[in-house]
Amino acid sequence: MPPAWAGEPGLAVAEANAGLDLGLEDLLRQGLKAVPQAVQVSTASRFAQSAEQAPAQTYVLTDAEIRAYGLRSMADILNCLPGLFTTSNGNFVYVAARGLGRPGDFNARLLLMIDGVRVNENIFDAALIGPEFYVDVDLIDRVEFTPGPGSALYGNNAFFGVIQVQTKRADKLAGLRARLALDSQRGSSWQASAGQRLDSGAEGWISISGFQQDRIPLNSPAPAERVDRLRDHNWDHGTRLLARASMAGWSFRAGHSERVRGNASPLDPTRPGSGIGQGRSIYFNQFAALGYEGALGANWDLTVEASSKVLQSRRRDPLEQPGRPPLELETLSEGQWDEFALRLGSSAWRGHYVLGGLEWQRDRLQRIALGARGLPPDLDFTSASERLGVFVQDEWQLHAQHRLVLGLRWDHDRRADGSRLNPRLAWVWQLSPEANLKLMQGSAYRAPNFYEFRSNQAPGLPVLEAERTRSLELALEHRLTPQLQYRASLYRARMSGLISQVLKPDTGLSFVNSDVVRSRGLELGLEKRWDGGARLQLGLSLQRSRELGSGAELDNSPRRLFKLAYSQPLWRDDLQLGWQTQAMSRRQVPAGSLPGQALHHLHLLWRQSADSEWSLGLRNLMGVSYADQPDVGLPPLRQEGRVLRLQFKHRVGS
Amino acid sequence: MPLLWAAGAACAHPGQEEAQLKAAFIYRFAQFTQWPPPPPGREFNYCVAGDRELQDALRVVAQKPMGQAAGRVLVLGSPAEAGPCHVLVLGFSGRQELQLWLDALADSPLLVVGASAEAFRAGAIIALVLEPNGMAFRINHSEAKRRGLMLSSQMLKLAREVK
Repeated sequence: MPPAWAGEPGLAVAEANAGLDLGLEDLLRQGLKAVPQAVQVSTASRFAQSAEQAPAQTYVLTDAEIRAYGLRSMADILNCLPGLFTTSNGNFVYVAARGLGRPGDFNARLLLMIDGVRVNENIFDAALIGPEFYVDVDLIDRVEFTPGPGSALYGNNAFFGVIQVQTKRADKLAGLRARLALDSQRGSSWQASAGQRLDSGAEGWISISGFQQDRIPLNSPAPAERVDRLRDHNWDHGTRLLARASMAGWSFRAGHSERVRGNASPLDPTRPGSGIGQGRSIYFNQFAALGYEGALGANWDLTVEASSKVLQSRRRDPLEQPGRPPLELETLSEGQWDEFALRLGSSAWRGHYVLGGLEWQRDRLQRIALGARGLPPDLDFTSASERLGVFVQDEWQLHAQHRLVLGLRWDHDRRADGSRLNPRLAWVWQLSPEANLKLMQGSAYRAPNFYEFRSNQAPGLPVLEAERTRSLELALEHRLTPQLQYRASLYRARMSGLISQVLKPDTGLSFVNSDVVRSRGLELGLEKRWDGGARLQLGLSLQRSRELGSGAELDNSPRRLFKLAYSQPLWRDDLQLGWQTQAMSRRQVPAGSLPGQALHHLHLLWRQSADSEWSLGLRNLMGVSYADQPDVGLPPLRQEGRVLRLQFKHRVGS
Repeated sequence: MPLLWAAGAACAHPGQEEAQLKAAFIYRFAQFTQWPPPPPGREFNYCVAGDRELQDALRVVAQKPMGQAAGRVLVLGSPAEAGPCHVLVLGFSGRQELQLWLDALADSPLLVVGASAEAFRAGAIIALVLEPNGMAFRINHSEAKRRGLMLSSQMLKLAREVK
């Protein structure tokens, strides 16, 4: 057949394309007026694909939103994502999703990844998303959140979702860059990076950043005459280093983070009114990862990843009791572990993309020790373990409009009770070019972590079983006009054996597998864009989670969560306004119930030149006073009031 | 401000804005690429397989000359028709279909541009990637060199990823 020669374009297609006058750099900065549908995501299936084809909802937040709304921490970012909210005790940041945010859990039900590398630690399986998180926000290119159980692909910890943080590449980090930020609560932070890409494609960057805050406002009431002294002991500081290099399919990433959080600690807890000493929580984390991604022939894709991680966290409190020498009590958690992952994807069979993988984790060291600093510990739990997972997934294009995704993963944890099998089934129906419907059946588990396991094993209590969940979800995404899109997602989940903390006089702190929990929810979202560049996103999450036996609602599980984000260029694209509202309804907590709240954040961004940028933000604009109760043993804690943030960024030679 | 689209150009049809943006990128890619001798003569040919909207958007682009050459758009039905092409845009996302075209034209000095992650995995030189706030691109530089094409360092610098 001869090629169809295109004639002179008719009037219908002769519309001007103003983009033709723009250089590449300007085209990259060009925003879309229409809501895009084929955005690329990679968390739902562990390979890059169009969001509309992906077998799970994936919410994406990019560096453009981080800039537009002045987001300064992982907590700020997670609070923007549909269905998620964070709470904090000033030391640890907890994240909750879909009704599950049980006080005292250390984010072990959330799998956190940086550029495809798992970073949950191996003592509490905790996802560290507080100031000790490896990645400074200025290095984040995008954050993807795939809600729902994901163990069929990711194994342990992907219980209520997977969060994937992708760092920037040298296109955005070339040259020298620096940031300085200050806020009205005596907080400051800085960051500097250097990066380069060679014509061969080899590239690398390194970033160092630091933060500090002193005299942090207290989060619980104290006698007026003591407030000043208590605040003197209430401070936080830390540094982080992150580097990335890649060449010809190989990539190397390494991170280091250390943080010391100081707080007032009574010198003798048995005597009210005793002196105040300096308590400290010390975090030290490191990781290094080497990976390869490439094609094996025409139809096969290979990914190999090896990584090694180290964690040390120490809690130190001074103790001065009459008749005894002063000492410092120390609780040490220490972990060292290696991971190896191999994935092979194949499109050798027409209409199928088959992905198979193997993941192995060797916990070289898991240790919790308690005692006086400098003396042999009173309690010292040390162990080593291994975890192995094997999975297979088939994405099957049944028909032009229908895709079926079948997945299965087998996991074995040497310490936990045997093996786990987690299946997944998803059906994606492209109803029209503007609408798609997804039906998803997922499952997940979470094995008891080392801390939970040892807490029960030491006093001879029953061995804990793994938590399990199954869910069914129906999601619809529909673009009503090019600039207006809504999504609705209806789900129900059953969770059994959730591991809960109990405090009993005879055995002290231990854990039990609790009753079955049923949860139902509806997540609604709306996105509207305007020709002038304004963009509005609304999200409403409704859910109800109850214990099946008692009918009791779960703690820290608000029934309604509302989010609004609006951004608009004020003067060309050099001055931008960002507004956010984040609200939640009343929730039960161990102390009773906490009232609902609505927080508003305002942000102004000024691009002074191609290389310099200023931003001014008002967090909690109305100065709303609200509280969280993230820990079982502590009372509700007052959260941050109104904060003014100022930031300056500059780059040279990119 | 230079960054606003001409009035009326956007959103007349859902995919049109995306297609126009893709076409503008493709125009710049072609400008920043050097073909092995003989250089394009009096005609510069943008070839497209699949993606109706991109075909229309490229027709607008082809009205602008490429250096000394006049731009033309050819809509291809099979790889055998790709002889006169300089740029080949593959609008499919199915791996088998992509592979069929890439295998058949494995040794031609073509600037192969894909519009999906699948196309990049399959061996396209450039993949345009849609992001929530705009568009980005990835470059397979070794594939470009293998086909005898020279890409400018400006392009390599601005690509999200170069492999």
